[in-house]
Amino acid sequence: MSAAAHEPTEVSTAEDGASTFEEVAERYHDFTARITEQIRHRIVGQDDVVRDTVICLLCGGHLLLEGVPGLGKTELLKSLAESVQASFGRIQFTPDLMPADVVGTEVVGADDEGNRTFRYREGPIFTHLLLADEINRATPKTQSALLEAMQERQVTVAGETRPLPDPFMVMATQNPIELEGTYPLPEAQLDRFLLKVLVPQPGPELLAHILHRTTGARPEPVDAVCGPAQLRWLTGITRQVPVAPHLVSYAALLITATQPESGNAPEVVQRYVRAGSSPRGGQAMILAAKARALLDGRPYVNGADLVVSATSTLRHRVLLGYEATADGVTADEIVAEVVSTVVEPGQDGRGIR
Amino acid sequence: MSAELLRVVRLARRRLRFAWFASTLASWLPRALAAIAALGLVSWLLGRPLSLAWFLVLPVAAVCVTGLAALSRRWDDVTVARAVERSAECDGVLISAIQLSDTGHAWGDDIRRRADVVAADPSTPRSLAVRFDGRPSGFAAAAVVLVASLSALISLGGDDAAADAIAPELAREAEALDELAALLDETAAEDDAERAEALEELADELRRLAQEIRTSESPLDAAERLEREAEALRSEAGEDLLSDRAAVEGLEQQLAAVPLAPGGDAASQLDALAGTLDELDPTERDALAERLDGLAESQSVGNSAVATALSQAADAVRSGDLGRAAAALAGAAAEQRIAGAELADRGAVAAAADAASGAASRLRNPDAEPGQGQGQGQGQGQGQGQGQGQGQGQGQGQGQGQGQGQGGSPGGGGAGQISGVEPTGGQSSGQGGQGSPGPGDGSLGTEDVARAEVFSPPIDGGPSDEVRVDLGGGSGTGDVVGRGDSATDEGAAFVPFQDVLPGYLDDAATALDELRLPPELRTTVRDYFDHLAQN
Repeated sequence: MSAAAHEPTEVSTAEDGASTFEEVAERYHDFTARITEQIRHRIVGQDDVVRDTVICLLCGGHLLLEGVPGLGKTELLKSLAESVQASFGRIQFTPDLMPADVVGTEVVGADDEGNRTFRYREGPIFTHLLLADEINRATPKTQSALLEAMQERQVTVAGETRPLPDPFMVMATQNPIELEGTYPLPEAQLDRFLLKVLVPQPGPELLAHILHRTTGARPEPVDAVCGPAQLRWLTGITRQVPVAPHLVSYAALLITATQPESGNAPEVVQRYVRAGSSPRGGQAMILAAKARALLDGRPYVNGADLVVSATSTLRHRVLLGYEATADGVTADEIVAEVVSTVVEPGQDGRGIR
Repeated sequence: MSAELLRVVRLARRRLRFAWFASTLASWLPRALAAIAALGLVSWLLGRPLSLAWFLVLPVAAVCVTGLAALSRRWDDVTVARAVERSAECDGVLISAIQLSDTGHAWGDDIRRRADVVAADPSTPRSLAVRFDGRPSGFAAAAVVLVASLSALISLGGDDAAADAIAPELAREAEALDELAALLDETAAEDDAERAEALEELADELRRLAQEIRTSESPLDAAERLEREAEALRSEAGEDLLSDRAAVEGLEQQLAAVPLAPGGDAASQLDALAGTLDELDPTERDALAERLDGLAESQSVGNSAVATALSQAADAVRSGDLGRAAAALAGAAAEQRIAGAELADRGAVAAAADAASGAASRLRNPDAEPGQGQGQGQGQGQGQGQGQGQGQGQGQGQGQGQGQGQGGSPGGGGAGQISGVEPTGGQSSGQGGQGSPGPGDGSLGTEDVARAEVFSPPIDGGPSDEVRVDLGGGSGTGDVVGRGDSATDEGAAFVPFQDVLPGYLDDAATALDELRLPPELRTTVRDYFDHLAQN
């Protein structure tokens, strides 16, 4: 377990002075481009993964990265944390990790007068950006220590509730193949993550580029390009993007279509899905769509934003049944079927090309 | 919503309406065309092909209904904007502007400005392309079927072009009706006043019909008018015309073959017989009474007044009341004359009905060839012998012969001979005379009248059977042996059809009343028995 102890410093006050959308969008784009550029110092390729990671940051949500070892998951999150120049903590999850190791505990200490007393010692969770590496290696008890922190952004220790820094973002990684000695995250825990991003294996060309970059000179250092205030501004701007009512209805239809008991669920959902997405899935989808709209320079969300965001926001919220495992059906295929089946409201297809 | 956006939505809604109309029409028109083609085919099979106007009216009606549905259909602004966005690929700015620009959002103006830029592009509403949901193969197949149906209809004379082509046929049929009317006029000039008036009315009716045919726009319309007129005329002639004619003319032919008394027609013979009743001896009266009964029986169907009078005359002769018998015979003669006159009138009406019906049939089937027939005639003689013997040594012989010919010519007559030998012992014998072959050559007429052999079930007896008649006269055995041809159970029947025709006519009339036969076939059956009765 390690934690970055340096104090955050404000880089700029970009949240002030923006009035029109063009100005806001320009600054928004500027911040995200600079963050992405810093990440690119360490990460080669993986454009979609980097984009989704930045989107999750812009939404103020928690990110779960899943991939086999060695794909740069931890490096990606570390570089992201360094580019933000906010407080950063890292917890290496292991089976013997205890909840107190995460949220902190009371220890016996002496006050200024020499009297012994209990003093709360903060855990590594008290940071702006927390890297929970290999989160599925900790026991469910320790995993559950994150529930309150991720949802309510506070921790309760010894009967006292303590707020976490703002912004607060958990970036977790997990390995999908080494299941020995792991504890799969429960649905309630998974639901706390805004996005689940799959890190694919690089192709030959990309791998060659990675090998070339990582076996030569030391990589360039990552510069901090924004601070907590800018992060708060970014997340605030993201939430300001308006969504047309029919698109909210569309998101609701997509969410209910993942639920096998609902009336508009496709056949594959009814057959393979044991439990569909919660309302948090809809919230995550709309938030991610808003960030995408801003990244595309639009002051509004369109249907395509929702469709593109659906996979990363819903794949970990769709609980597959035994038949899906037996037939080799993945959550991504289920979500793709839902997206292709559910029609956006306002589409009267007859006679229109 | 800005004015520019409103304009685009209005234009797009109009285009969307047209797109919906075109797509719906393309989807349903093949089915409608197929239904119309099927309807046309069924109507043609039923003998009442639809006119060309129907083939045009039904598709036009389908188009109108679809158009009205498209006009009455409502699309809200969001749906219209969504349709434009899918075509113009404008990233949802229109629909967002419609829904968000008036909400007071800080970026509402930015969204509206972006939407206005898109709406100002003239290509935006036009980008809403029309597509056809219907399958091209189904559309093409339905069009082919419709064109084929129209072509078939035209070739069948169900349209105006065919009407032009068949105009000479209409004129020819009208001319034929005029000729028949002229013939009726000539007949009326030779007849008494009352009948002449009726015939002239009939002739006028035919002339009016001929004029209607000439001015008719469609041969099918003309055919329908002719059929209606023919039906009315047939109703006027009476359905039992054939049986009545068979009875009246049958009596004429029976009395012409075996006269009751000197004279020409049946009525004259009956009048003559009434004046000579007192010259007959009892035996002759009995024979006369028996024959009168037979004649009465043959007239019971179709000529009941004459039958009643003849039956009364027979009873009176048998009872010896010669005065009442003479009066009954005179009454029968009068009834026969009346029946003959009525029959002539009804025959003229029926001829007019047949002419109208035939014209209608030819107009409906202009390509049908006129009737042609080939026949081989064979004359056959038939003789019947009857002998009478008397103990006083006086012999009387009476021969009866009848010839029957197949074909268009009447059968020849037969002459019989009786050779009577009357020995003292009171025996007499007679031999039926040999009938002479009839003169018929069996040639068929040129009219399109169907001809066939008359079927008669075989009856007992053969050519070599002997017929023994116990006369009961004289002191001896008094047998008279006649030998002649009788009906056989092989080949055509030799039964005189006057004996069976009334029954056949009655059965045919009953069958025509009960069976639902097509009008053409019913006419053919009537014509067939009409010709039988005339021959």
